Amino acid sequence: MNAMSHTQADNAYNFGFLDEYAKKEVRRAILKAIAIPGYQVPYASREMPMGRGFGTGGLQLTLSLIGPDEVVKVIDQGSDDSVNAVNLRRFIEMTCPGVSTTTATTECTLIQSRHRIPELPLTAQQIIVLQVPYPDPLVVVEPSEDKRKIMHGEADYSRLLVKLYEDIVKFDEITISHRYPTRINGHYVIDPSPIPRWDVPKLNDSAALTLFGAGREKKIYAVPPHTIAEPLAFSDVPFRVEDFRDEQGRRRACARCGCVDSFLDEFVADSGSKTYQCSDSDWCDMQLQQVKPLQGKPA
Amino acid sequence: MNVERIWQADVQQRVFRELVEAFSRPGDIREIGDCTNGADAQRAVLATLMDGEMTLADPHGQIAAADWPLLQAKPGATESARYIVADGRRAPDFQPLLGSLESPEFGATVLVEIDCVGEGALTLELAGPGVDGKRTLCLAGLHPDWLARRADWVGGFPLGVDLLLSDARRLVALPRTTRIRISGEAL
Amino acid sequence: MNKILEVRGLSKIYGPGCPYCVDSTGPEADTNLCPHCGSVVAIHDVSFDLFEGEILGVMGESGSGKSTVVKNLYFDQAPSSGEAIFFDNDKQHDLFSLNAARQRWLRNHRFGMVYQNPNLGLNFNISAGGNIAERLLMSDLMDYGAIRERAKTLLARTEVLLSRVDDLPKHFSGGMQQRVQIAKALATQPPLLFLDEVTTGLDLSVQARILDLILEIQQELKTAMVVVTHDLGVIRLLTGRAIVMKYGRVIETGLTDQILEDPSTPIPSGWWLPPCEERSMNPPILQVEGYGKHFQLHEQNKLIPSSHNVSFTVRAGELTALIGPTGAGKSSVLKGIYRTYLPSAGRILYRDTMGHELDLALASEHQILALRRREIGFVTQFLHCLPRQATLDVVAQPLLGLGVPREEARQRAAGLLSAMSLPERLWSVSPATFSGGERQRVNLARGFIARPRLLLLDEPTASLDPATAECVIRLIEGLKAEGTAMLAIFHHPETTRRLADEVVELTPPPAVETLLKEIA
Repeated sequence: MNAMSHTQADNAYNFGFLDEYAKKEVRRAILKAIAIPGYQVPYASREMPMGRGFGTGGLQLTLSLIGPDEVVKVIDQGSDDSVNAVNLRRFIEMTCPGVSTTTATTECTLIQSRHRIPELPLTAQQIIVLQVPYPDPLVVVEPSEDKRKIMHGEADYSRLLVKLYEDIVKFDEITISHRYPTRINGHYVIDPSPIPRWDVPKLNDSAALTLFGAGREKKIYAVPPHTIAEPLAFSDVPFRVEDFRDEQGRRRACARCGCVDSFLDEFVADSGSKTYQCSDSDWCDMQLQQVKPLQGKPA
Repeated sequence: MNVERIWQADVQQRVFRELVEAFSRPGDIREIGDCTNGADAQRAVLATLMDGEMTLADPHGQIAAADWPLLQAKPGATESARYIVADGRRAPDFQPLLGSLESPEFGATVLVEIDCVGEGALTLELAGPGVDGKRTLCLAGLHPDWLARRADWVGGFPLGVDLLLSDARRLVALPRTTRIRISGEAL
Repeated sequence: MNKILEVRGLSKIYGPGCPYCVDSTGPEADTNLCPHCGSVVAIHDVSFDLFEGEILGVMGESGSGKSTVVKNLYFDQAPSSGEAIFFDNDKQHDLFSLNAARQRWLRNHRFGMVYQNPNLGLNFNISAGGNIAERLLMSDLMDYGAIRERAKTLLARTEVLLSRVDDLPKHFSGGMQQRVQIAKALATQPPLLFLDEVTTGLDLSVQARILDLILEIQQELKTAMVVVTHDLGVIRLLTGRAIVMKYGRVIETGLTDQILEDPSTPIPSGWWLPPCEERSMNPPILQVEGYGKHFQLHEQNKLIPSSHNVSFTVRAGELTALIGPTGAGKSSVLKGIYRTYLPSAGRILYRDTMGHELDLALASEHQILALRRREIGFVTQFLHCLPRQATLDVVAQPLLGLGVPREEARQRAAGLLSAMSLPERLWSVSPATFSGGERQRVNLARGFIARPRLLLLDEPTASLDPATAECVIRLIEGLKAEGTAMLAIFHHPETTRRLADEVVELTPPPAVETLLKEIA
């Protein structure tokens, strides 16, 4: 008799929603993804009770990793409170009895995120799972998957680099804003999911394991901790993160917490005036907590 | 009926998380004896990862006959199996799958049982992804041929094999990307 | 002088092959088509040496196998047998025993290729400079400024205006495209360069300038070159030694001037005379000018345009591919030529076996049916056949229509089906019960069997698994080598790249309102 018959039989769902066979498939793929940094390991993606494109790839990773003593944080574009984040969090709470959820980056052991990596550096005790819509950075230059696999295997990224070359020719800089192609451990180039350029350096030599799940394309890949992650660039045209300086050259601050070293979202008021606020809501709250004693009342 | 802990889903989840840690941090020793209730570590790993989809080779007869039906894995030859269990005290006398340029994940995972993980006369210095700078690993009961054979197997990245060494209670992983030196000598 | 390339016994057969292939083809047999198994012996037992800094000519008429030689050496195709050793400084590479990765490495770093069709050598959607950068980026040069300087130097060397370094090659003239292709081929300073009919199709004045350029580069860089051409002028100007091919065999080898002035074998008729104009060896079989098709929706009194102002040519032994987005009217062009559709505009000039030219748009129904029976084949995505007919007879049908005895027809059908790896147990069954892939193979076999002079292919590999698609692609290559002219639409851009000698890009027709304005 195998494990499958010994799961919580009285529950409507198996713990973690997925059956144990599906978890094993995902788990084996995760281990190979970690062992071959940046390589997209194919796996058999299961149907989930939500449309693909709503983070099913990331969710399958989370559900295969999660245990009853887990503390989970779910973020969507930096926010813990968007509809998407709330729904995913509810789904995890419902299908994983015993698991606690949090919005605090400091407290969680497992983060599922879409489009952002938290500002607070992650620790060795944490794992972050990023949802990926398009896993293969080569798809823009090569339509055939068989050919792309060979190019990845040989680490032949010349055609991708030509795209960057053409970008500089046309615009004097590399204009890719999200999904910046990043080379892992000197071999595979990954699509790091639609995180801003701001977050790409966080992948390099991170204390935490970063996992990527693409549900529609059925691929899992990983950047292990303490691994070199280099955004593709030329030696004389280096990679740059977003510039948040105003016309006078001063670094813009978050209108809510005053932070001057976080990734900012821009809001345009009806009057046309622009305000800026931390994209990472938990980070913003933390900054506010720290300045509160000084200012007495939050703004 | 009393079912052994290692066949239960919650234990397998915990063992899996230890495997994630082990492969993420090569050379980091993971203790799993407590959660598996003292079951042999190599068995616990097999119970966690095997099902009917997988091929498993057992060239040194490590697996008890009664475990095969529970594991459900298809027995395979060492040169074609996705997973191999081996006795590390013996010299590796087989050629595992190394995968291909297009599909390096077909490179085998080799579970190697040795006398002791964490202490022993053999001292390895590790570097590579997952290792912050350098890390030292001591082992007892690993036949010296293993490191030379592994160096051949992992010479052509992304092709290679991923090793998981275990003793009775502890695990340590040496994925294909880990660079190993013995007492100052490169391998 | 040191040897750089040694080729021994190179052979390439398209099709299943049989023990009689070699003996029943060649110059004496006056064919490269094996009468026993229907295979095409594209080249057989080709051997030659190439020395450092030397230019060797490979000459012959269309279908002689000369291009197949360089395609094999550049790894565009794998030979059926033979050996080639590449001497690279102190290393020797046995080309055909290397693994695919090593072959790609040599191709990218040590060899250069300039194709007749610039579409094959250049990426038309990235700038001229970007095309060269791509080659440089393969060899770990990661400095943008240095890459750009090198690209500019190469383009200046091949006389491309530096003001055009950032323009797309698709907007360049044919001669300029060839210059960019040569610059790209030279980017990694390869010791060995292949040139396949590089001046064919260009104006005579442009031809002369490109030939000068090739000579200058050869003298400057000491690059060894293999030049494939049918053009005696090119051979005379560029090469010191040459081999002459006919029906896949080397019939003459030696000093170029000696071959031209004092050949040891009788002069092959036809192509041996100096060509009076470009491509005189290979006039078009089909010439489409301004083809258009629209449909009238009677009940709504509406015009639906489907193809508009399409022009191109198709030549013997060449494949012209139609590309373009859905709605560009690609299939409508094929149907217009086959006269499934009656064209609304334009001329479709077809030159038949007798050399007579006729406009298919105006041809009588009798003429069209005769051409469909004898000369023009059409393979669509769907197979239409009698419901109870055995597969073997479905495939043999076109031969019976030409008066081939039933037994022979069935034998040839069997040969073709086994070449396409359709299991023998299915031959006696009706294709109605087959899977999509199996049915498509039957469909293709029926289209190929009578070896039409002009073959129209509408996404022939779309429903096939990769292995079967590959064997269909090989059959198409075989038919091409044998001289069949083809007009095709392929599902995968990769297939187009591999097979097409000429690519015609169609754009969706303008809306009716615009068309009406044009007329008014």
